[in-house]
Amino acid sequence: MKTNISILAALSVACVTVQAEKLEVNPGIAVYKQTSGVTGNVNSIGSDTLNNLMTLWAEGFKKEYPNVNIQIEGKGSSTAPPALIEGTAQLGPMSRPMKSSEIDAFEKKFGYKPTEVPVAVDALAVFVNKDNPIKGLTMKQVDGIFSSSRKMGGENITTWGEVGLTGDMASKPMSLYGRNSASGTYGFFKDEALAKGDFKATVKEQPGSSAVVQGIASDVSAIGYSGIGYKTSDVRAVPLGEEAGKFVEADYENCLTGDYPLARFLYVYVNKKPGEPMDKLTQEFLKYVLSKDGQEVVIKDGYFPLPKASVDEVLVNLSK
Amino acid sequence: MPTTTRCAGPDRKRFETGPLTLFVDRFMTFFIRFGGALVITAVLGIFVFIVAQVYPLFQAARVTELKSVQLPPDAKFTILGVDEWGAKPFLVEPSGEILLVDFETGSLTEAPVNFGDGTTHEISAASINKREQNLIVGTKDGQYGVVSINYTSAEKDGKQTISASPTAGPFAPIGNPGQPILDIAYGDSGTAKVIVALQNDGEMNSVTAILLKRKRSLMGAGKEEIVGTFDLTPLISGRPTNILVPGSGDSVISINEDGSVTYLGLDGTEGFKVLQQFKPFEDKKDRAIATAEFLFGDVSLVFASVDGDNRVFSLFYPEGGKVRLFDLTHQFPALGASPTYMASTLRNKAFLLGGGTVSSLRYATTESVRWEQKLPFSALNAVISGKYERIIFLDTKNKLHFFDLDDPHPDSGWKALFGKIWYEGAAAPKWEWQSTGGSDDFEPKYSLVPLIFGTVKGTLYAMVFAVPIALLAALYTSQFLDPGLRTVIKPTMEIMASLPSVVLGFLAAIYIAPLIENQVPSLILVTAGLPVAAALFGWFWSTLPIRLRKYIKPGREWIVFIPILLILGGFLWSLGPAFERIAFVTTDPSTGQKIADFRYWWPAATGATFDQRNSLVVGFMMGFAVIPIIFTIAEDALSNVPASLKTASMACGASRWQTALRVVLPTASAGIFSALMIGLGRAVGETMIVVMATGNTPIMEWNNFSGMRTLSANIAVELPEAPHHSTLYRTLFLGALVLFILTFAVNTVAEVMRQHLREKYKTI
Repeated sequence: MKTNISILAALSVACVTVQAEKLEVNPGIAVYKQTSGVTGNVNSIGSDTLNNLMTLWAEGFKKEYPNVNIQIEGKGSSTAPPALIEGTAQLGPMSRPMKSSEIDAFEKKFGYKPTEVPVAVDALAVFVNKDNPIKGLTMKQVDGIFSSSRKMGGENITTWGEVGLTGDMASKPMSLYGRNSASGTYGFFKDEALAKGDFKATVKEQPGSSAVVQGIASDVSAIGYSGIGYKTSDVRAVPLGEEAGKFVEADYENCLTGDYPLARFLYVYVNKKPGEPMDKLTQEFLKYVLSKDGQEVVIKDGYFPLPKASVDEVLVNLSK
Repeated sequence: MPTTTRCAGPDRKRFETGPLTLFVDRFMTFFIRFGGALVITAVLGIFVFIVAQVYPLFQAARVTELKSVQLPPDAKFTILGVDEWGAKPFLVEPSGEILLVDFETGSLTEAPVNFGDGTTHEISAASINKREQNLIVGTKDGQYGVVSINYTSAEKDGKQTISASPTAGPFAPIGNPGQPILDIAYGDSGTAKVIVALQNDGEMNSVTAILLKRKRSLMGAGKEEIVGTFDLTPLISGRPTNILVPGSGDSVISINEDGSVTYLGLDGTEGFKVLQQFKPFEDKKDRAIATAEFLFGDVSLVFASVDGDNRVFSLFYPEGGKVRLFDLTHQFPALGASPTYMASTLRNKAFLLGGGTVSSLRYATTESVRWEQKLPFSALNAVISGKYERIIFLDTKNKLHFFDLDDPHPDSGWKALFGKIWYEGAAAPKWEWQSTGGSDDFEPKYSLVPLIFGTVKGTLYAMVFAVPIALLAALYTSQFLDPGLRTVIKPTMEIMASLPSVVLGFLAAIYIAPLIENQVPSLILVTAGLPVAAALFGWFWSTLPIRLRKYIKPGREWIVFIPILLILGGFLWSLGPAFERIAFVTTDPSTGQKIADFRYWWPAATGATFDQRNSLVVGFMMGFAVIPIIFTIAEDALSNVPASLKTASMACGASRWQTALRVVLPTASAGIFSALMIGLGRAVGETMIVVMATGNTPIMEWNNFSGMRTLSANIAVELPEAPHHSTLYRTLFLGALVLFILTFAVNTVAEVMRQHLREKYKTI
């Protein structure tokens, strides 16, 4: 595959000039209504991907209820289940669904399963430096770049020339950035992009998504992955596709249709006994998150809002 | 005036100790003893606690019978399945009835499967897709259908009740119309699904596969579409008797009558091709395969031969290969009976193998037999509940036996923690630490060996850097330096010791690591150049005539010495890039250009990796933490050597250097040794510097340009994500115990050596 740099450059300029379609929350999602008697403390321990988002929600929520105190800690999705089980947190943000073994541990202690609340849509993006002219990558290539077990059956890829770049970039070895194993992003990428294979030992494990993006921003031969919400002007999300030539941008539309292969929900897990109402503060917080106000915050932070159908389904589940 | 009182002499009470003093003395004796005992109890308590946390890792599985339920004695069942809790197993009768058995009440309920079109079919084969709690059944007249058991759990008054409401999808024909289905299986990855049926036309066995695809999106799965139907019979050499399909929905395993296994892979959407044909028991007398089953994760296949031999084959890339193929990875002791059933779980790599009255629970990863027993009944079939908490046997008299399975840490044990293990997907056995994965079928790797290695490596690099500097500095400060200055230097060094290690780690990660990365040649020049220059300067100084040397008082030589070394150091540092251009040139294999960069040269020249966060940085920074400790203690020991010894030595005509080396150093050796050991102890247990300055990569190589993960850093990094009482949690405690034993051993050796040295130099 040979690509002409000048055409690519022209294309990338064109991409910049085309104004991205402005995202909006589905008008069917209701505005948040304040109620009385909401005070106290709530702790959130879990995902780093959701860290900024949780902070923004907490800020918005505190505007509604000034007497509420929310503490947020985001070290990785794997820290959420132990915190929920031990009761050190009421909210467990996670960027991947809980594993069965984690649900088992929860069920053993409480007798019922934790409640999963999708709160936003994320396109897990493969980022490269903004000066990297790569047009797109197939999932097989992504697997070949990051995986040592290459379960998708592709070739091992170590330099940019092997994915079609020419000129200076062709001989540059890829510098791989990823997340630490506590991260749900790490787990999701391993499941979906590597088909449950193993990461290469050369993937630099960064403690947070912003560290991944920073690393890529300062290194022209870098490639890495993180939630789309951490995108900055120094990095570019590579369009992905199942086959060469059919690349799909990481945008909202493609996530909902399933064309973008790494779309996912972001979750908050809570401890809710079936048949009984949750504690009021946690419930109101979730209602706020799932309201028009809460979903606007999602857009503000760079992620995608939930479709109305999911919001309705979750609200019904929460009131059960 | 009588003066009797005066004549009696001084008051006797003056010589008695006051009651208060006595009381305080007695109290303090008691108090100190009490405190001492408390400290010892506390330390012992911690030790006991850690041991108690670690102990369950080495326990075997416990299996106990809970109850048994009699089923209709004449009924025949094609398959036995179970829910994840092991509370409501189901059995399928050939008529299509599903029999549900309730564990709590022992009641039996029959749920007929609705075939959609209202007709009845006789079920001739069935297999369970455990992950989806689905059943695929094949009928005597060549049709297949998927039955969902639909388990739900409800909780009431703290009691959990499980209920099931089976529903069947529409039935459809597969393969040769009208021929009975002998075996059927399917695999579904979410986007691709393969259904494979084995049929018999009276003589020949034929295999047919249907490939379906569907689009998956966040809002659920789309509609399934049939991509193609393929006849696999010509691809299989031998008479197929059994079919297995992995959950990835892209391959088919056919077990054949002659003991061979055919591994077929999907070739695009065009059809299937043979990837591999092998015989698991090639070397054995009877090669026929009695049972075979995928382990959880569908990467490993467990085979049991008719003789009871038991082997595990896993998929991995053979050396230089481009396709993953099956090869022998684990071998178990033979079962003392001919196996009739095999069951796997949904939580780990355990499987239950049995035949007749013998039943054995085995764990593939560690090649260990978790439990083995002769049962009081002869079992036909068995299942393990999805949660790995219950085993259910069906015996020859149609009695269902419920067993409780208590095995919280099957993936642990001596071999898992310290031995080389052949993990799934790896091409060879190895020591590895990788405790968490994103999915359930991830095989946790709990080898402590790379962590112990990392601890030793980190300590070694720190000591290599710290010991010469700290000891020479102590010797110089105590024996040669101007005493006035000594009173300034020592407290300064002690302040350095109180620097929080987090700050040092931060400095290492943010500043030192990137600096060293670009300037390795400069660093080499400086480390090699300065000691040589210092020695040369010393020699030069001693050859100078006394009339020049007298201007500098003894103990103040550093006034001349330091500026010269500083200038030289700066010069050598700036020489680095030039040195790099001469010595570290490598050719880029893809372009043929020559690059003068140490970061490329090192991997090309040694084959080892070059990381920014490497052992050099850690050794350097940890050295900083250790130097002040060694320095202060060693300096104390050296200064405490009696002045009479030194003056005697000098009076006999020895020079300052001779006195220091031959008299002071041996006398103080016990103290110096203590200093080294305390420094070593600090380096072994140091956490924050390692966490921040290395990539925390649990690798096993001495390469000084790669990182490491130490035991203490591992605990700091992984404890927040370890669920209480999980294997990982207990393994981290084991790491703490190993660290404890390591320091204990070091301290004991140190104390013995110290006593020995003290004894030796007592006379001086």
